[in-house]
Amino acid sequence: MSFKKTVIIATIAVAIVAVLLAAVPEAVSADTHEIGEQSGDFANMAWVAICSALVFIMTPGVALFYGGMLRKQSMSSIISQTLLGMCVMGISWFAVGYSLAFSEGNAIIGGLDNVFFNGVSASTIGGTNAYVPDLEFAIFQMTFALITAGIVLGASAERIRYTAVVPFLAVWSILVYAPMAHMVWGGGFLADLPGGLATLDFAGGTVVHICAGATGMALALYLGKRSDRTMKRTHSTPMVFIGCFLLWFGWIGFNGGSGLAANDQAIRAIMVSLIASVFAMAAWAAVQYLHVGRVGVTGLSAGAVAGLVAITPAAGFVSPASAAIIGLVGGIVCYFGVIFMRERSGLDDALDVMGLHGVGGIWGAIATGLFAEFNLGSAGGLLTTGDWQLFAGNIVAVLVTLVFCFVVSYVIIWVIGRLMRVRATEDEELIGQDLVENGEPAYVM
Amino acid sequence: MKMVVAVIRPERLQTVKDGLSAIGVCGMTITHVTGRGEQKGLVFTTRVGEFIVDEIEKVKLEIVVDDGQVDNVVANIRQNAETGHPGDGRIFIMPVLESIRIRSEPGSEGQ
Repeated sequence: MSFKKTVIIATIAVAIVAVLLAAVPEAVSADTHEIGEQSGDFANMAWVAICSALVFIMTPGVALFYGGMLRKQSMSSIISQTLLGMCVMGISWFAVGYSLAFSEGNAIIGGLDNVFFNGVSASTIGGTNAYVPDLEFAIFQMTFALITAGIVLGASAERIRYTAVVPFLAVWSILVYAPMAHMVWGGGFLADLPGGLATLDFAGGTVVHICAGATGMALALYLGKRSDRTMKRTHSTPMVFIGCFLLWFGWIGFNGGSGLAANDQAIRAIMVSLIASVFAMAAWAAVQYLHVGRVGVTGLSAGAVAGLVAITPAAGFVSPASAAIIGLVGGIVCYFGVIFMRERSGLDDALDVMGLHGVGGIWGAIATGLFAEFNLGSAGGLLTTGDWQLFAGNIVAVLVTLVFCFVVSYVIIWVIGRLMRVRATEDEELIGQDLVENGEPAYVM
Repeated sequence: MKMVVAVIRPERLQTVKDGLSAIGVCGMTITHVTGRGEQKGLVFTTRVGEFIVDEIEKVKLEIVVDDGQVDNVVANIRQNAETGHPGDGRIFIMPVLESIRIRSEPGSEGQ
């Protein structure tokens, strides 16, 4: 890509951000205190630091999980794409992402007060949350930005060009991920819907999973299918297993840390995450056994991930018994979601990003509206408290997320497609991106 | 007896196997191999220049059949392995002196 084109893209991105920032309200003073002044501060900080490390390991985990399910000619490629994604998202988060997501802003996107973590305190508690310093919150949220980009890359695997991943994720982190995080967690309009509607998204069902699913669908639609002259098959089930367990292990921090405190909510979140994942795995295994007659590593791993995705938005709010139902239904809807995406949708969602994360996230948001009962700041679940506002509000949030992420992502990849070649040629696909783009086959034989 | 050695595209393997079993040829040895053809591999361009991939993945089939079946088998493999693109592969035919079954059950010598 020439320098001129880079300048054009940067100008467009800055212009869009500037328009979104047009109505930035005045910052309000929050109730703050120094770390250590209240009992429990250090426990919360230690817990969130541990959880950040746990979520961080999910990104390499997703690379192995995805790589194992691709051909052996694409293993290095998916790992290097994930690493590059971490690069781009990490730099973007440091430069503007955190600020656009969590500093004071309008209903869609935050402001630029905290660019380069400027003014983000490591020693005062009470800015964005009541439990940990803002800089620690930024670390925890940074790991979420990394894993979301990692999940997205599964949909475009084996055909998006390595060089196209960089500009796409750079623009996507600013125009899709940061606004999503702001709308749901940073004080944007999804946290404060009109008409008394309430939304709850504990650990990122909309921000991470539905967003990744919709973005993945946009990429799959723009890039088209992989060549039908290549074989599409899992090349290494042990790799899928390792990746699945790194994800599962990391998910304890993903859900357990999302309350940002070492308290009862964290304990409940971890318990329901484990319950939902094993129930979803059981449900997936049963359905797959009835449907195709056998179950293996890939199916069981996908089932566990389906349950974890489904429980993510609900984790801090539901009882273990509700989690079992969420897991059971999650395993079944994701199984048929994957089948639908593969056979009926006409899209080549290479690694079931929409089928698993999208469909699971949608069910999770609906389930939160049905079963929420603990730690509520607003209306509860339809079945547990009889309130309808949360159920309706979460459905609105799902629709907004799907449309916003799909449309903006499609526009981004379409614009980049006008400026550079984003799709691998058929010859490149046949030889495999490991060799053509990275020059390092994963397996020398 | 002849040995038919076919080097084909990996993605055509299942189709070729199905085609052969439809005409009653089931026994074969399958090896995953790499190599290059008359085009000397595929040329790709990177930012700093060109490079050639000349170890392209193929599948090698070895099938031993009676002389009368050779033409039929060759036609069947060609029909099922062809995509029309360079790199569809080649077929070699060589004589076989003898074919001996290892399992020594009475009355089951030879083919």
